[in-house]
Amino acid sequence: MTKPLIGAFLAVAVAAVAGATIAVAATPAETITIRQNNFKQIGRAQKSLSDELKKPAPDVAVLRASAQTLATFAPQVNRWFPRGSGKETGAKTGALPAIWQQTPRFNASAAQFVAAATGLQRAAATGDAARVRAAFPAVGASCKGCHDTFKGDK
Amino acid sequence: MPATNDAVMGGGSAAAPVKLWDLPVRIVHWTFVALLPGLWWTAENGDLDTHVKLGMIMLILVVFRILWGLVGSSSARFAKFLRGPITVARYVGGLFGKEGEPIVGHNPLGAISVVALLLLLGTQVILGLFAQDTDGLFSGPLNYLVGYDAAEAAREWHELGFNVILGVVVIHVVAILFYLAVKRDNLVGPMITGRKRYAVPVAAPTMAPLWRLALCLALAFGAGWWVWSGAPGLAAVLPVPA
Repeated sequence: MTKPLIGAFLAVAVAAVAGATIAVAATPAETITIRQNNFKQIGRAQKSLSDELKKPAPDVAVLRASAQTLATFAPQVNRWFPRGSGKETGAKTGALPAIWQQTPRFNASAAQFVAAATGLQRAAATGDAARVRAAFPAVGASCKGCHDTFKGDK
Repeated sequence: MPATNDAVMGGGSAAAPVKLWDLPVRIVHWTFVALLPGLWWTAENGDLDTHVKLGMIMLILVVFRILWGLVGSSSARFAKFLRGPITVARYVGGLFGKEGEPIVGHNPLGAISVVALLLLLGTQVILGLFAQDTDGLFSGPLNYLVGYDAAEAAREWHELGFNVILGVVVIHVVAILFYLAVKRDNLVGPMITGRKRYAVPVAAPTMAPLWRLALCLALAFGAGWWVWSGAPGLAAVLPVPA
């Protein structure tokens, strides 16, 4: 009696999760919304690092947490841009067609972000704010390096 | 032009130019003119380092001009040229009619233009202080005082603000062309030379003494320095903590 019930629950649960995943992948508008929310998380982490590093004695815990956020998101970035999630969707997005026209270059730009974020995370792990400060400009430069070519106005 | 009126008045002294705009008013005005394209260009081309510095010059100038509008030469003072809506309406109604008494200084309509532009430039500078670029590379000197969402909103308003300023500048320039072409009144010349000829004898504006200029300059640069240093003490009174 209980086994089929659990089985049914599981099936519903799996279907729900699968359904959610499919739904996410299904509409480009949702892909864009999720992508933008992720970039906002990156922006928040970036700002918290920038604000913290301006203080005479930065809180290393804050630096570490934000560096961790960047290092987690960085390797995912180039996967947030499936073909067909650009301006042609009619959604408000700054994603330029160059992303899909120059994919190798786009991936290389994303890889620079990964390298910079990893470097920052390593610096934060040492607990030395001066190292974090030294590693931080490379992150912003990688943002700009990619945005200059692949990001336009919404 | 004055010649015909001179004959009527028969006064030789009437043609003598009057010192209308003092040097601070003129320098501030033309620096605004020079700064706006510079600020636009640096923002458009991602030279935000220069953009922020030019913005600081703008801040100092706006603060100075507001102070000068309170205690400066009489033709620079808000209290002397700002008029109520009825006076403005009457002035606009009489624009196409017979010449009335000459106005020494800003006319009631031009006064609105002065205050509107000054308020817009001030608002624009304040928004810029809190704004940040999308790369997290550059931010205004007070960006650290607000959260991410407020800073993003500041940038969007800052972008919109420029278009509003551009619109008011266009109206300002069109009005000047209107005075030149229709009213045969050259407003640009006096803003360069500081002097204007009147057809009839007029009371010349009172020029402020140098010490007031020194005081306003010191206060304006002080304000600029305070903001550039991150506005110490401001965090305590801001409604939204960072």
